[in-house]
Amino acid sequence: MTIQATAGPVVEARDLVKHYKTGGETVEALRGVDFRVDSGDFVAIHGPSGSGKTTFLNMVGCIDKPTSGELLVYGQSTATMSEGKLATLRRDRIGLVFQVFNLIPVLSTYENIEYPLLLQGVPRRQRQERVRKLIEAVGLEKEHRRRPDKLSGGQRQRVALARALITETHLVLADEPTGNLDTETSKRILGIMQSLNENRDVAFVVVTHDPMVGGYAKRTLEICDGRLSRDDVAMPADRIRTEAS
Amino acid sequence: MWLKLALRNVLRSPRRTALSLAIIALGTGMLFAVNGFVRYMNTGLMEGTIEQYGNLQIADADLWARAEDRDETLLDSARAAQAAAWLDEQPEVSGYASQLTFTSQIQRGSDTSLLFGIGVDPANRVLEGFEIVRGEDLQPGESGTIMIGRLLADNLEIVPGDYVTLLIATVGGSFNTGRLRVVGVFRAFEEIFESQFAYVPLTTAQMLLNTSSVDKIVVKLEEVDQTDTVAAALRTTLADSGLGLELRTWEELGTEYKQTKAMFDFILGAVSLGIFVLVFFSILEVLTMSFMERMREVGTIRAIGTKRKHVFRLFLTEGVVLGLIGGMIGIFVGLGLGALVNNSGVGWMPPGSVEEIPMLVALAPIGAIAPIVVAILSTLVSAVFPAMHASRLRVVDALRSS
Ligand SMILES: Nc1ncnc2c1ncn2[C@@H]1O[C@H](COP(=O)(O)OP(=O)(O)OP(=O)(O)O)[C@@H](O)[C@H]1O
Ligand SMILES: [Mg+2]
Repeated sequence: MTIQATAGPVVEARDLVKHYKTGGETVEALRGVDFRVDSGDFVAIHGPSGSGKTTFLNMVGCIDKPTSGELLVYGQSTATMSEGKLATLRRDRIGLVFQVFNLIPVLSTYENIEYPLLLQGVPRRQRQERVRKLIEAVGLEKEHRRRPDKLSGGQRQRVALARALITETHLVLADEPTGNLDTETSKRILGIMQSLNENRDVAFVVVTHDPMVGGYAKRTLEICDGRLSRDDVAMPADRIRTEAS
Repeated sequence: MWLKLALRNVLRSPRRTALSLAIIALGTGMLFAVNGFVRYMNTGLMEGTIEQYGNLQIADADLWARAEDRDETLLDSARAAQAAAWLDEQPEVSGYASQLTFTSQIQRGSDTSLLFGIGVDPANRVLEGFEIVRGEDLQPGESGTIMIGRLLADNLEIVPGDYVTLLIATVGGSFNTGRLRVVGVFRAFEEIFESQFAYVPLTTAQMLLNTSSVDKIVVKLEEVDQTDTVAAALRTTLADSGLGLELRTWEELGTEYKQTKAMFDFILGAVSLGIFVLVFFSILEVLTMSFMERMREVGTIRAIGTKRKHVFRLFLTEGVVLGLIGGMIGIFVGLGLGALVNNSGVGWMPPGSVEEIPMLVALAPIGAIAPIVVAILSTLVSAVFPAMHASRLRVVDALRSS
């Protein structure tokens, strides 16, 4: 099942606001964000700690609901969706990558990547074929039987990336994907992302402290105090070129 | 998939899992052993009761109602023959015999004691509710003989060969005495039989009571569990005949049986409940700990599209897996415990009994069902709370937890 890239924007957010109430205080984590991701986009969002990066990504990833504002994912409004519908949307159309990898510790590399397909009920044969191919694409053939605790940070993040992509989604959201990796490993992960972005038409939204990420992105935005402040379209010449490894 | 995940999650912290399995197994094992003990006791009780009373007894309704007028309670030969004909038609009936029971005073020297006599046909003893300990059984063709219970014999200092006098009212109401030779002393299943009952030949009983009738027919069946169906069939026949006959089953006749069984069932229920509660709280603790450690993981699988109901199912499955494995191990623990008790030679005194009997445990596979059900049920119930908690977590909160 391949999800066709829709003609319109993959994500469209208008005036997103998110308040957290903790005790008597209200934290205004997002104060009206307008945002748009088109098919094939690669967006890096920079911002200092506490600026609302994770909050923003959680809204876009449909794992939390905005206090106000509108969010369309693949053209569908998420405001009125039930929890079950949202889960299905996340399962089928959104790939998530986390700073601390968040793999399922009792499952092997192969099984972690396979997991979303099991949720979808994809038949065994197809699962095998797709997981094999993706394991190859991220270069983990030798590690396919290992559990996460026997993998290095970079290997884990490649597993996470493969898990996010196995459903052939066209949108991957990554929260500090290089935050726990050294520079070399970070480059490799970003290189894989870049090649997937170009060869498979997967849109990436990466929020990060890491200034290096900007070099791989087509656009770089700045988030500060819950507001998106700058929208630069990176010139193709500015982008770092890497061979997909 | 959920089963695989559940199994792996269960195996992931071996020490904790071992602890829970030990708790469940111990609980199940104890329950299995107690269950086996109760089953053994109940079976023994049942067999003893049936040996004493037969599977059923047929008599005039007035006898069961303890009518004062003795004459009204008897079965003349016509009614007895009719009842016999019906019994002959029942293939489940393995034997039946007429009895004539009476109340009397037994006198030996200057001592007297209350005595319930049972007149039986020595040639047709369908019941073996006694065991001769001194002397011998009543012999066919002999009359004027009596066999008495051991406690009675001890009280009155009677030995086989002695003569005793019975003081009795005939059916007609006049006073009668009989001098009988004691041929044997028996022990029985229930204390009351040993202290107050005696067997005499049917003809002797009829002579003492001055009648040619009997007052009940005791019936033995091939199998115990045929009792209810045969009783139901015969009840209809008896009611339709209008002869004034009624039957009682061994369960209705053996009051000791009912009381003792009720006591055992109560013990079993209390132990089951206790073990249920023990397993419930231990496993609740363990599963809650395991849940707390896996908050972030729950957040992750929900974030990538796992539904709430699946998270619920996963945690519940973990509980059931624990319960099932623990329960199975528990059966072996129970077998061990049972074997230990059976070989220990520990004895105990059942209520209403005469002497201590060895404490034994019936270790039939069927006795394993209830303990395993209790084990699984209690782990299932204790898994419900963490499972509910896990499935209701807000994804962002779960992901933020460390
Ligand atoms: N679930 C929550 N409950 C209460 N406050 C929250 C919650 N999540 C975030 N916040 C607050 O909202 C603000 C933005 O947090 P957020 O995690 O989005 O920042 P961030 O840019 O991702 O920071 P970092 O770079 O440290 O990850 C912070 O002040 C944070 O304390
Ligand atoms: Mg963050």
